[in-house]
Amino acid sequence: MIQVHNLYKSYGLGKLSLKVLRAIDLVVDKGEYVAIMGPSGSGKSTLMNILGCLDRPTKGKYYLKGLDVSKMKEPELAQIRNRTIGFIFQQFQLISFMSAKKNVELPLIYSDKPAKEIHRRAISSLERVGLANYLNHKPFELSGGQQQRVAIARALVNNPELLLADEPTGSLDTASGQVVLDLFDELHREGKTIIMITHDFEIAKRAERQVYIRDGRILTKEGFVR
Amino acid sequence: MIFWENIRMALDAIFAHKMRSILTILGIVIGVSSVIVIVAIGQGGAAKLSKSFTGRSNSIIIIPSSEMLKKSGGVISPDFFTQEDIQELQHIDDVESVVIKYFETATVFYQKQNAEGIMVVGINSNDTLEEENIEVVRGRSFETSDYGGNCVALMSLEMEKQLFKERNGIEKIIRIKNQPIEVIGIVEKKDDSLMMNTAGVYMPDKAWTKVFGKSNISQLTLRIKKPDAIKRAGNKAIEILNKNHNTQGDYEVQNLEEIEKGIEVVTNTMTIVIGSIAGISLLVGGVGIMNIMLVSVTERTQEIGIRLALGATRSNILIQFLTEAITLSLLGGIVGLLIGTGVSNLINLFTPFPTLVSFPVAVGTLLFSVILGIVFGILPAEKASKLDPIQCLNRN
Ligand SMILES: Nc1ncnc2c1ncn2[C@@H]1O[C@H](COP(=O)(O)OP(=O)(O)OP(=O)(O)O)[C@@H](O)[C@H]1O
Ligand SMILES: [Mg+2]
Repeated sequence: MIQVHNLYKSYGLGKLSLKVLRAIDLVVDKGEYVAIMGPSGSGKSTLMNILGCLDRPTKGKYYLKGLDVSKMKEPELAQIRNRTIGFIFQQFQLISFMSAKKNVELPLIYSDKPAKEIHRRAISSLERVGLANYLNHKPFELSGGQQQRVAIARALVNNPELLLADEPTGSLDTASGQVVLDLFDELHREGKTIIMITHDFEIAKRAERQVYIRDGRILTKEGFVR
Repeated sequence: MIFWENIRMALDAIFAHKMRSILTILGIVIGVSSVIVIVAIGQGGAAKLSKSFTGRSNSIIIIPSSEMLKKSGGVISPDFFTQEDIQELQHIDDVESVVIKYFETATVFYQKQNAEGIMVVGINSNDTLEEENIEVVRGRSFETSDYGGNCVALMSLEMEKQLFKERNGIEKIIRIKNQPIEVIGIVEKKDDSLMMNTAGVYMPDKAWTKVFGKSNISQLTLRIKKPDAIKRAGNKAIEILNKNHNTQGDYEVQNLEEIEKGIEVVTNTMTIVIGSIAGISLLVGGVGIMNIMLVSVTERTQEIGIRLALGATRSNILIQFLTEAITLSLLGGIVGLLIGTGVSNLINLFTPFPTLVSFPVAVGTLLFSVILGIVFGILPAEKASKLDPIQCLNRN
């Protein structure tokens, strides 16, 4: 699914440049559930953004489904974000003036699906996360856990193979966090590839594999469990 | 992405930010409605305006040319204008109606009283009265049946003063050339310049012919539908008359050049007024849209980041914000059109200015607002489409 080879990311130019990621090598197979851990500022989110095609590496190779992402132009990257990747963020990132259903519809709108299909799939995706009764609620009318489930429904609606979650339970209480993590387990069983950033060892243990990052470098590769 | 989806998204965003949207379109609403009102007054009052410049409302008088008068020693043949001419002139496209006048001076009698050298005018329609700003002050004007041959007359206030000491001329029978004629109304020339309120009698053309035993048309006036068609219609009329009478250069339009100049001044003034108001409204409305769209883009960076993360391309974002700007300014145009039309109708009702909001003007304004939206929406949309998704998402 994912092959990263000798990847660098730095901000700024010349001597003053800040190397956020260094010599990253990472392979994630299809269907794997990987947790990325590391201290604050270690570069986890930066790596995630590159994996999600929201950002480009400064140096190095990134193959997604065998395709060289660094060679792709902006519209192709947009298409990959749209069809192949589902994002889940710590801050939910829902559009505040739009209803749950409209938020979930967005990825389908950007893949030019017919209106009927958009409608049907948005509803079934929200049903899937247990929010069938909240279609017309605005984000501020929902609890944090519910908002995150809307975001998951949105990430799933276009049926992507890869889910990227940056601290998905970071803003949630334990109970709603559990609901989200149970959903992830379910999705993992269904064969989705999941990469999740977390600070919490308990949470990280639910993944098959943990990757530890410090100062922009991957510390352990396979099977690291503390 | 689907066209309608963009419109729907734009409407969602517009209604989600109602106050901001209202502020955004305010400039356009004010601009468009004032343009509509000005144009409505201009179009409705074009005739009135051009009248104030030419002295006549879109009408031209056909006269014998000076060469013809020189040749004939000032004598005009009785068939200088014929009924056939009138028929044919009536069929010119730009001609609304043909107004003819018969003149003769005569002595007017009432019982033992008489007045000499009175101008007796025969007319073929009440248009002539309107044309000359003649209004009935007492009694009634001619009705259609009167033009069928009734021996009736209108007389001027001055005429009444000369014949009736008691000022009670209505329904009295006067005599001209021994023909009894009933006075049905007293008329006065409104907005009159000094000298024109002279003693005079107006009669329907049939009655006039009966009294004087002849039918020499003394003056022929063409009422033209639109001021800008005056020259075309005038030339066409001259051509027809010369052809019918097998002459060359015997007919002439009175003061054609003066009329044209007057109309040109009117049109130019109107163009300048409308142009500058349209220009100001374009600036005010457009800058308003641009300003608030720029603010909107800054405020909505998170939304832009989310959309990019979900698979929107940069051109999707550009089109989204451009559509929003166009929809806003089109909405402003529609509201402005409605308000402008409303105000025009009020002006029509409560002031002496006639107004008219025409279909092409309505369509033109809406088109104009769309262009405005494009021109002033492109910069904010461009800005939105160039944002970095990660920075957008981190701004919380
Ligand atoms: N646009 C940028 N310009 C400059 N430096 C940046 C930029 N984005 C991130 N950084 C820096 O890169 C480093 C890694 O940031 P990143 O967000 O990847 O950390 P993280 O591991 O996700 O931390 P956290 O656990 O707090 O979310 C930080 O030191 C940060 O200051
Ligand atoms: Mg982070």
